[in-house]
Amino acid sequence: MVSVHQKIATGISGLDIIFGGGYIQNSNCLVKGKPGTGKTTLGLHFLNAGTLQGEKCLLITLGERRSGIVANAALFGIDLSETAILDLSPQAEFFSRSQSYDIFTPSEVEREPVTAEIMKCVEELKPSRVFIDSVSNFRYLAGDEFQYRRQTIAFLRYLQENGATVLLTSESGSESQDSDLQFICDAVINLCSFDFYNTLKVEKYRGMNHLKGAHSFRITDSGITIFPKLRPSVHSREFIPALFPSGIESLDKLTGGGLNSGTVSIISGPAGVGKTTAGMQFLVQNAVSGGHSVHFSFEEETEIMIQRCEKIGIPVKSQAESGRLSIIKVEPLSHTPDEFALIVRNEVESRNASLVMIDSIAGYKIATGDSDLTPDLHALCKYLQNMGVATILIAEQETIAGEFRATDNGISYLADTLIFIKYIEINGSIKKAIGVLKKRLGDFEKTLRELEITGGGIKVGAPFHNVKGILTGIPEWLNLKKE
Amino acid sequence: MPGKNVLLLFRNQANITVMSDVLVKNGYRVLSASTYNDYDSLIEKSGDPVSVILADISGFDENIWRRFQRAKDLSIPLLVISPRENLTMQKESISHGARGIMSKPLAVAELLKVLSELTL
Repeated sequence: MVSVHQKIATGISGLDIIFGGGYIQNSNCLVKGKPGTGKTTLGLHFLNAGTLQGEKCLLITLGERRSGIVANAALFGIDLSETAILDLSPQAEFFSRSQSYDIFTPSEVEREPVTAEIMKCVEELKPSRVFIDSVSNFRYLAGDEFQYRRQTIAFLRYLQENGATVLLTSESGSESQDSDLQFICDAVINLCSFDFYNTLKVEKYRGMNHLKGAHSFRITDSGITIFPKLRPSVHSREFIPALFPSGIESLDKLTGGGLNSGTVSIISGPAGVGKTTAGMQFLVQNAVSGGHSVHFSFEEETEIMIQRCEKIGIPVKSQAESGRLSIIKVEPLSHTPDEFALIVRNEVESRNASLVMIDSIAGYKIATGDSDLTPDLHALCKYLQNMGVATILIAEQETIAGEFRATDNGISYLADTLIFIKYIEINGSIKKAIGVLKKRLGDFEKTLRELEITGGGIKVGAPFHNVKGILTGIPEWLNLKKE
Repeated sequence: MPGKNVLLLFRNQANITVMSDVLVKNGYRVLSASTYNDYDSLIEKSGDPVSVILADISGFDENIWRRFQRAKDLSIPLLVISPRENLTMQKESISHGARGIMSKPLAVAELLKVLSELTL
């Protein structure tokens, strides 16, 4: 069945994705939010998209002056010279008047000329896009709430009957909720601003499907960039199942030949035990074999990590220089989960990455400011699985020794393969043990081996025999007399 | 056909402006006074007499009653606009010749109806 609704570009690619193509033509959409959340900027993009396609666009401003809006638009590279602007904002002379009238209410004397001016403009221009900023000001021109609702419905209907798609802003605050407008409008967008990020949520989209949830966005020199939430189900690509070995024979024996494409592997262990080093070994080996690997580092500085790997013979630098290994440092609170997912997608879809390491889960949580990381990380891992990418998640455990726990973040359910590295004490010396706890695809070695990181690289020793309780951190030797 | 003359006695210039706009748009001609002197000279105008007086009592003193009395003497209908419901003021106004009293803010439709009846 063919949809009867034509969509028109919103002027923001991320918003087009959220709306499944754009605003419904000849409909109206309310943009609400507190001051400074980007409502006007969203409208400027809407007008700009129309102008670029040769459409007639009208901006009706009831608050900000024409000159201010034109200057702000220019800051974002938006040229309003082809856009008709009806400036109904209070003029400066209003302030300089010594008296104001009190004989009539504003609705009695100002609504009519305002209406006449708008009608004149609409009938002369016949705009296909109208942006009203903000409609909350019309409330003061209506006698009461009932009149406001009636007049707004009639006004929107008038614009639509004249062929316009309408975007209108509303100032949401304690005094002006504009909740009644939400019932009137075909679509409602809510903008929110937080300390480090902003979100956009489509709260209503009459009769149409859309991408639900609060999507993060940024306002930069080029205007608004929206990062739609990652929907793993719409992404997939065919891939030939493959194994990504580490290149270290004994380690590959442990993992049953390596990490599988389209799976998530968690390397878990306490600080300094060698999780990143082990993960880098897989990444570099893949790069050496001609694949593209990506390391997202949320904690360690790139230069330090490269130096550390080079010292133990893992050729990170040459692989990075060859372009087959991308090392991307992610600063704390610099990206939202949606924004980070887009960076990952770019590496996977544009650069065909086949092995990705997120180092670490705790760092991801801090860097993205994600208080509940599970849904976003789950979506990201699911996406990588659908794209056939082998994913390594580095999970840091807070306890150095003692009782074994797979991960501290409650995300071990995400893992198809769970590799753990643990400090153990043997005869008064601290050693490291590495093992595989589970692997969904294929067999793996069920023994534990000693892990050493030396100047000669990663050494994985022979399996421990005649010992029990390694996972407690203090193993006991069996048949000690015989040994 | 020329409209009827309405004389405004308002202290507030902004009220004169908006009231003039409303009345002119509805076919009236408007004369306005914000002082007693102006009022005194306009009310005595010959040739093109005042049909009705609209007086906003805000900002005027008790000398306004004499002006109301003069309007009554000349048989010019007088409509008084008061800031709020004020029984004393209303009684005074009526006793000095006001034909009607309206409280602010006015509804345009209601005002026009009253004016129309006063100028029949």
